[in-house]
Amino acid sequence: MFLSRNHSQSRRRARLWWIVCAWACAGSLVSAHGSGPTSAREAWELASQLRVEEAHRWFAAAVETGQESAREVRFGKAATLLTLQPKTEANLREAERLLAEIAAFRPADDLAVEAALLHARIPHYHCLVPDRAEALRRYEAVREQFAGNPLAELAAPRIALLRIFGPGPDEAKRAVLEELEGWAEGLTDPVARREFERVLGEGWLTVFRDDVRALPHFVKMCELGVVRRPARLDLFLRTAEMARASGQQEVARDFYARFLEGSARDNRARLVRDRLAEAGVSVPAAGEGER
Amino acid sequence: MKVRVTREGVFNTIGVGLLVLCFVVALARVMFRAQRESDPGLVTLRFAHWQLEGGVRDAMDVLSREYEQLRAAEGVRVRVEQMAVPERVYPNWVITQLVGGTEPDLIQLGMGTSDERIARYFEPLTRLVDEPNAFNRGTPLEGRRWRETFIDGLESPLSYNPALLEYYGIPLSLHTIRIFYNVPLYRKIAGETPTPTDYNQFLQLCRRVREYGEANRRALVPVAGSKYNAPYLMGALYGSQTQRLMLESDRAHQLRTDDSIRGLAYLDGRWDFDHPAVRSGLALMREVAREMQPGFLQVAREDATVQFVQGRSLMIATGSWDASSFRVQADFEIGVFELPLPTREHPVYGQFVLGPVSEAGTGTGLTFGLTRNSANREEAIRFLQYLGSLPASRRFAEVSGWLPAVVGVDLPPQVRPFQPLTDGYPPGFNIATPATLEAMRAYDRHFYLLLQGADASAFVEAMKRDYPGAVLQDLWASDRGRLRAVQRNDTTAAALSQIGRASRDAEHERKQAELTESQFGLELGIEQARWRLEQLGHPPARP
Repeated sequence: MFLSRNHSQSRRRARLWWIVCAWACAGSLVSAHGSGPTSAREAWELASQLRVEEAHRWFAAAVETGQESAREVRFGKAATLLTLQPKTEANLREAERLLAEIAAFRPADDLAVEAALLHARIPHYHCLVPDRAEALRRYEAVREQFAGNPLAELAAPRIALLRIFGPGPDEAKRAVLEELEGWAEGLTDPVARREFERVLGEGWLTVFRDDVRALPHFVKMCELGVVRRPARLDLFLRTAEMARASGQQEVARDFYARFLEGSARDNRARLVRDRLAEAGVSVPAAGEGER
Repeated sequence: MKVRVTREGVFNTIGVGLLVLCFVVALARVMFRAQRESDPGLVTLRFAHWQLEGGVRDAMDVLSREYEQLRAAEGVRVRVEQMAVPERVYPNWVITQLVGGTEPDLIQLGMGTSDERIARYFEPLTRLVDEPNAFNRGTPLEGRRWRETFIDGLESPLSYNPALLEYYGIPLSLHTIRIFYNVPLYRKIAGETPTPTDYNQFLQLCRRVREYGEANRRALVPVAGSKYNAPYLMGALYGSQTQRLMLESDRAHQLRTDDSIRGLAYLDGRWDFDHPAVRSGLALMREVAREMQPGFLQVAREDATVQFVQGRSLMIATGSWDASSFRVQADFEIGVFELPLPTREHPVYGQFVLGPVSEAGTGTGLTFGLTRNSANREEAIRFLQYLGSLPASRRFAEVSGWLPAVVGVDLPPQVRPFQPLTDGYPPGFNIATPATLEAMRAYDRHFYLLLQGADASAFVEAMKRDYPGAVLQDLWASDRGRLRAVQRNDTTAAALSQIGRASRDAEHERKQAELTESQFGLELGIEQARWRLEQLGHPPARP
């Protein structure tokens, strides 16, 4: 009696367990189906909002079924494989294969350039053990193979990063920086040029603590413009400080003034006003800011 | 038949009775709510937050009722429900609600709201904050873009999410750290002497408090300390001593420091625990610790609050968020003054000081996000606009006693002492911050040594042993964080580029430009930090 009651209880429990599981699976299927993308555009939207798993599911299915533009969905699959969790070597190899295929398309278009750039990012930032030499080789290949395409110019600041902050003696770094400075004028894309100038400026500053050599690169960055306000204020202030340290007081004053224009909520404003006062420039007293 | 009544039986009956009663009440509430929600003419909005401090819930209630009346005058029946969830369970509560699809319309952001959850469950407000707020009509803020009407321009990370490149939160408040004091007790001890404006005056006041306690046989402590409150005062005092050191360590010309700069500067030998400024900061911390009750490091925040509101200490250091609670709990008048830091003129500590610390960059908080599943999206947006308007902010400040996040509010007298000080200098750096987990762990582990002995030597020796390893671990943790962001951004950048190929607009171009800029910044940060570590003999140790 006791045994049979236990038996029937466990059967009831098992039945209940199956019902709960079925309900949960149905729920997750419905929810997955209900919220899943229905086009490449929607999948990209999801990917841009960190919803990589859902985007990847769509791209992977679309690659299988040959939906939409084959190259675009393959690119989507590769781009989402890079951040899909758990991150596996197999996923990275698959992404690498897809990107190499897309990059090899001729005549080369923007998608081929983007794929080639992303292909170079894998050994640079995505592999568990980075391969800087391979990343450098790939970025250089992008720059050579797609010369004239503004998108490909984004490889230049990455090449500069790898060469300046890679291993090697300081004197070799000086030669690298001087060589790279010769590339700047050839960059036509303003974003690539700005970031290239940034890497060179930071290179002189970090490796050689050379304000004089760094300053022109920072000034050029200011000319080219920075989007986010806090980053812009930082740039103006750093440029001013570097100019001050290099003895270029006129330049320093100009950039201190630019900083003060937007610094109502920056706790460095008083320090900057002190700097200007030291240089004999009259500056308006601090306001209380907007309150 | 005789029924035998036992003690156990009575308790069981009471227990069952209470259980039944609770069930009936809960059932009635659920039924009532279901009935109310099924009323087609009534829009029910719910918002959740973790601010249980006195005054805030009252302020939110007042704003809710006023909004209901406002909408009623327009012929729309709205009911706004406030859900105040204790801080301890808030993250789990939020996650459960979001995953279960039972989330309220507006949720306070900051706990349980990772980037991924924000992307999945919250609505971007970017387009909305680029437009003027209709509730600011007729005020000096009329016609201004909504985001420009906030003190921080919505640049705080809870409002603008740099990973998602969208605005997600509307803040209602911001906070500053102050010393709160018992006004009647102060008058008894110090008479009409003005409150301290510098460190020496503060120490004199502490001495008078002890003398008064001894003379009147009262167990009176100058400052109520706890492991929560003490760091506000001690950290600020220590930071005053590293202001100039911060400038000396600043090789990147930023005139400020962050965790990575501080860590690298330490490994680089630009500061250490024998540096005069650091020793001076430690001496200040030891001095002020003597003004707190013995064993304060073992005391919880609530105990320090009780000590203060019961008049067993004259002062307590905490944030403006506690002001309303203190006023509710204490039966005496409460005064507020700024943290008493050493000035440049101080004969011992002045040499390391730049000047008063600016609070200009204080970030906003009590930030609400709109959930994607909101059943009353339009009404929730309207309520959010109301909360973030000038008239509602004024009301919020009056009732809550908290600083408002909107510009142009005439601060009520009780809020004025908390107004951020904007004319000052950047603070110096502390030994550790909550973001540098390992350094903080080492600091916490050895902190008791700072308070023992004749000087800070024991603490310094212990830190010299453990700090370098902790700094390295924190730097690698920061590297991992940057690397994850770079990897994530690669997919986002590819997505934005493909979306842009199909159709471009100004908003899309903004996102792409910001992402590119931020991505290069992160990459540069990784390369520079790794290069510096390599130079310092700490080659990459990728996990």
